[in-house]
Amino acid sequence: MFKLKEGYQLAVLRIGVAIAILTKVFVEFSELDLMYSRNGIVQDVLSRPLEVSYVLSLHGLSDFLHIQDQHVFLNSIYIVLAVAALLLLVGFQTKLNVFICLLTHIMVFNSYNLIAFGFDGFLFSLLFYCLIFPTHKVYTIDQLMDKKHRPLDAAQLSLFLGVVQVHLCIVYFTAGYSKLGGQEWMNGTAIWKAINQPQFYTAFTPLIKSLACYPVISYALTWGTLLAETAFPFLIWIKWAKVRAVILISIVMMHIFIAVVMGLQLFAWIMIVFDLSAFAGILFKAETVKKVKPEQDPDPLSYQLINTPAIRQSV
Amino acid sequence: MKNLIFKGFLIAHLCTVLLGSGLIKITNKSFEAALCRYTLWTGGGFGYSFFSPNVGNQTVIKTYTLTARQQLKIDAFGTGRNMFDSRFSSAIHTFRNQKAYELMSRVVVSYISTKYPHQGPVFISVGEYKPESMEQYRAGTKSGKFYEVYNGTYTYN
Repeated sequence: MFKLKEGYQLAVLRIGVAIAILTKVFVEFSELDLMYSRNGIVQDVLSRPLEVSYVLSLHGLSDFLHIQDQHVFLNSIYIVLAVAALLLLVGFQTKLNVFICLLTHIMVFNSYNLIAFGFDGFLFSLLFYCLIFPTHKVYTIDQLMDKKHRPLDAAQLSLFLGVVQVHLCIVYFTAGYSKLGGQEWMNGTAIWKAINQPQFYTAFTPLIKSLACYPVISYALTWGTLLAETAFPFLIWIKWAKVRAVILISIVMMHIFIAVVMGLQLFAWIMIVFDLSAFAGILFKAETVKKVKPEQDPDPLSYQLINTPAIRQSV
Repeated sequence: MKNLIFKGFLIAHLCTVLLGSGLIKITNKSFEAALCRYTLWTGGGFGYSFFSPNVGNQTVIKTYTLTARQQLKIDAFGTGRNMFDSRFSSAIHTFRNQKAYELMSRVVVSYISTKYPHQGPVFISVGEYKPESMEQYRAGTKSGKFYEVYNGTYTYN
């Protein structure tokens, strides 16, 4: 049976982020001029004053390079972004490519934050984690080409995962807590209201509307969302593995609902990537690495593989 | 030592995530400015209050354009039909006041003028979509309504 390597969560993070960027490039490529050019929907007069001077921007780069043709400029930027994302996906020159992706994202975000939404913020955060964490060490071409085969340090890995986990808990707690005072969330009609907005209309809307028009279902969906978000940061840490698995699956299901019923596929995808890169360990166990005692092996960097769970229990 | 510094940095990063989330109110302006700078380089410090405290009504912009061939074309913005429209709708929802609606209307007119070259006047109607209640939907007595909050007629010079 296929066994997952220790630190596979970092591969989930890297691959998930790369797929998100490739999808973003694919859906935005034909509308780049409309969205991000100086004569697009957010014109210079509006985007320039909102731009901050201490961060790189698309305008700053095109001015620096004296590029007049916005169409060529934007297409070139997005082609570079797509190539970098593709290489990030397979893990070739991972650090360099994640840096290119992050830099491009920063420039677009700074110039056009007026038309940014939740997905962009989360992509930004996860790209930063891809850069500072050793995402090049798990399931990558870089790792295959590394003759020294330096493995992940188990202690450091738990520190990295801990950071992603705490960040995710802050996200859900904030999202849940900020809804607690809302009338629509309290009276159980928030989901009914959300699925009825024209922006979130999909092929599934009539079906969901026919179900959610019954108060008991609307209340269950609304309070279920509220409960999942507010309780997630607490229940995900408790010792009982089944409860942890249930809360993780619930929150992933919530994002699948958002993708399918409300049409926010990119946002849902990046949140599922965030969830699984933080807590996939609850659902899928990996091979563990154990540090070999120095007297057994003179090389302090060498590690011994121990298969789980049977062998791990016997250690 | 290197590990300790990195650990310290990660803890500081999580502190900015917590502070930026809005759970804790920041009153110090210079601290807020520093946090903003850090956020724009690292992505750590955004707010996460989606659909809160309430879902609210989405703003939609409808345009009625008389083309050069004297045909009436109707377009809607903020309905999330594609990536461009989804992104534009987040700009529409950011500011909800008459001045912002006026500014957005001008932006939309400039787009319409590219879509329908040599067009005539453009009538713009900005409004909120208010859905029917669950009872009304079950009874089939009423459907959602568009409530206008701003309108204007524009020409492109």
